[in-house]
Amino acid sequence: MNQVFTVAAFTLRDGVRKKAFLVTNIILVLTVLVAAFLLPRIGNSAGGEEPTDGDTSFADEGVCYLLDASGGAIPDAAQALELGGFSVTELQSAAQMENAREKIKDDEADIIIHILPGGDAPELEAYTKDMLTGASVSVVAELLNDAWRTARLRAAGVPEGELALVLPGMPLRQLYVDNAGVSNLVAGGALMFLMFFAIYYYGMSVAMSVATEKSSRVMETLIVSARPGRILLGKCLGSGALGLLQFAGLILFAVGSVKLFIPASVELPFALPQLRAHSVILILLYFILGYALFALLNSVCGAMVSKMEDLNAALMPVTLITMASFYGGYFTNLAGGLSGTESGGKLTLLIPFTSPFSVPFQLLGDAADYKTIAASLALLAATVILVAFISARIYAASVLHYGGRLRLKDLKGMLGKN
Amino acid sequence: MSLEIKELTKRFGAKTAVDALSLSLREPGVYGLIGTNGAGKTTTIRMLLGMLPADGGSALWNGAAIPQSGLRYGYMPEERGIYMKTRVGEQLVYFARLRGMRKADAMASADRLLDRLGVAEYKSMLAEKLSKGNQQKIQLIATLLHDPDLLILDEPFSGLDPLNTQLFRELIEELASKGKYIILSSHQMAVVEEYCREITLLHRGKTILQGDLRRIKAGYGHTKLVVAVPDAALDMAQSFGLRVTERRAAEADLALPPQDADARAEEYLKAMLAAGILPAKFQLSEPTLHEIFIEKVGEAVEGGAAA
Repeated sequence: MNQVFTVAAFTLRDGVRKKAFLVTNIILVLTVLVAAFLLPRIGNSAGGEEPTDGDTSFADEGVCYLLDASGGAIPDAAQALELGGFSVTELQSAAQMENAREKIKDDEADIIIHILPGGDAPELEAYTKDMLTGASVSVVAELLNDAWRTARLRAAGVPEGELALVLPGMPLRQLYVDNAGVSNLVAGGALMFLMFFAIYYYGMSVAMSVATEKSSRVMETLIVSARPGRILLGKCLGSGALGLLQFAGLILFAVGSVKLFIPASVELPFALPQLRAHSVILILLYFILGYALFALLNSVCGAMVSKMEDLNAALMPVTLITMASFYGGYFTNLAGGLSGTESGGKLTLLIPFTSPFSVPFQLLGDAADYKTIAASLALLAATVILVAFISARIYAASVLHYGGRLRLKDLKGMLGKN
Repeated sequence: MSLEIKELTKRFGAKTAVDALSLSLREPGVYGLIGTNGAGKTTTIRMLLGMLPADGGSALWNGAAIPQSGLRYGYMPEERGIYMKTRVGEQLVYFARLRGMRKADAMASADRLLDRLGVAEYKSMLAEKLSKGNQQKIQLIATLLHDPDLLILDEPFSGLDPLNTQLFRELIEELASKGKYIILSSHQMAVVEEYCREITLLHRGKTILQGDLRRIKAGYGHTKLVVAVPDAALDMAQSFGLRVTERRAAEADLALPPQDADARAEEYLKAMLAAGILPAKFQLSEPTLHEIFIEKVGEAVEGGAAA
């Protein structure tokens, strides 16, 4: 094991001294500092303007088309909407709806309200452009409900003075006691990105290190001093330790910056996630195993080339696997949120290539099913062992091969002889 | 201690890179492994060091298979390989630590050898700042750091200036005198001739000449006469069956006939003396290793073509 640690220590020192490491750290530190400066401003503006006492004015809610097919079930519907801040155009027939739809498509109007006859109460249909744009349907519903109830109460003979006691309704401001869902979604996404970059970058640095040693012929000096498997293990360990140090350092610096530079009174759009100890350990474990898996694959690519210019081509399959794994995990997690119940999401928790990215996301939301995590860890560990075994053999067989890039057929032959 | 190689064979597809090579080093000293490019020297060395699996035969150190780790051997590859972006002292300690040395011992050994080879001043410099010759010295130091018993030096003199070549020669002599077993692979026949007691000449994987160099040369007898005589005496030589092969400013080489070479030379000397010519130089010599190499490889090529 001494040789493994000697190689690891040398790799770690060598990595720390590289200009790329220094520049990356400077960029990361600056990014964190800029974020710490900007977040309080985003946080303050995200709260919106608070209504002041006695302020009865409404913001401009947009252009509304109103078609009443209920025969006047809500007598003051148009006035209610206008009081609510809408500019209302009443439609006379259903035939005019198509024209109104076109206006919404062209962003010339925001909403069409279609009042239909119902049983005890009229029914409402609201058309907006899509899920993300257009007027607030809940605001429209509240205005029309108020108008309908007022009309009913008047019809029932309730005096105007008593009506004034209950109408209009109370202004509402929505606040969040626990913003954990959004916080964890943001933190989960950020963690996935960080883990992806750390795993990808340091995995690739193993490939570059192997290829450099091979092309500069240092490998011949190394290989007579230590077994190839030990060199490979030490190299992965050293680069992994460097990645872990940088990863942990960045997270600590980010948390420290938030605590130090952002006053407690500032309301942030999200809070720092509250992690349990076992979640931290599991995230760490997934980082280590995920890194090991991709670093081993990268090292084989590095060992297969004799010239640095061939490295990119050799790395292409592993790069594709890494990208597909990350984006697969990222999008299925975003689509399934933190519920972890989506079948696609569950699959990414189990596949060894996607689990290092997906499981930490779920752990942040405390939404992970621990039976699934146990199975996922077992699969990941078994894959790492298998890949390590195969990689060490390919590395030993190919590391002293010079000339053209090795093909799979060549490797098969070399492995057979070894 | 001894190194015994028996029937060592390596094939790459249909090509036999090393064909049943056998040799032995039973005493300390320098052993020459020579051959043309692609003769199988580096493949032999790689098999010997366990870097390549052999397809047949064995390499034994003290009667046992050469272990991947544990044997104190040093290998200086033909193509130099050091970390260009790392400080000289640091990488030497790293290589020594990989060989199992403690850090303090590694540093002491590196300091001693840096001093011995006159490059102590470069210890804190990045290797890329050094000249090619000095980088080669660093490579040799990396080979010697752990005081190996068996040394394999692949073209150690290539690219060295005369001063550094002399320095390397002295060091190799010193190591041999200290009881080290050294395998020297080189194209520089003069160097091999100077140091190696025994040689193996490889051509396309096959051993075409092997044994004690003095005996090999003695087996050829005197094939050349070097003389420093007036031109008139050179003209006389032809009548004794001697052929002028090279004229230099002060002397000339004459090829002796393979049969009765010494008798012809004696007759020629007597004739010159009778004519009142006293040669300033009259030296009978055996063929050089270079000449033997050319002859043997030529024979092998012709034999291969004929087959």
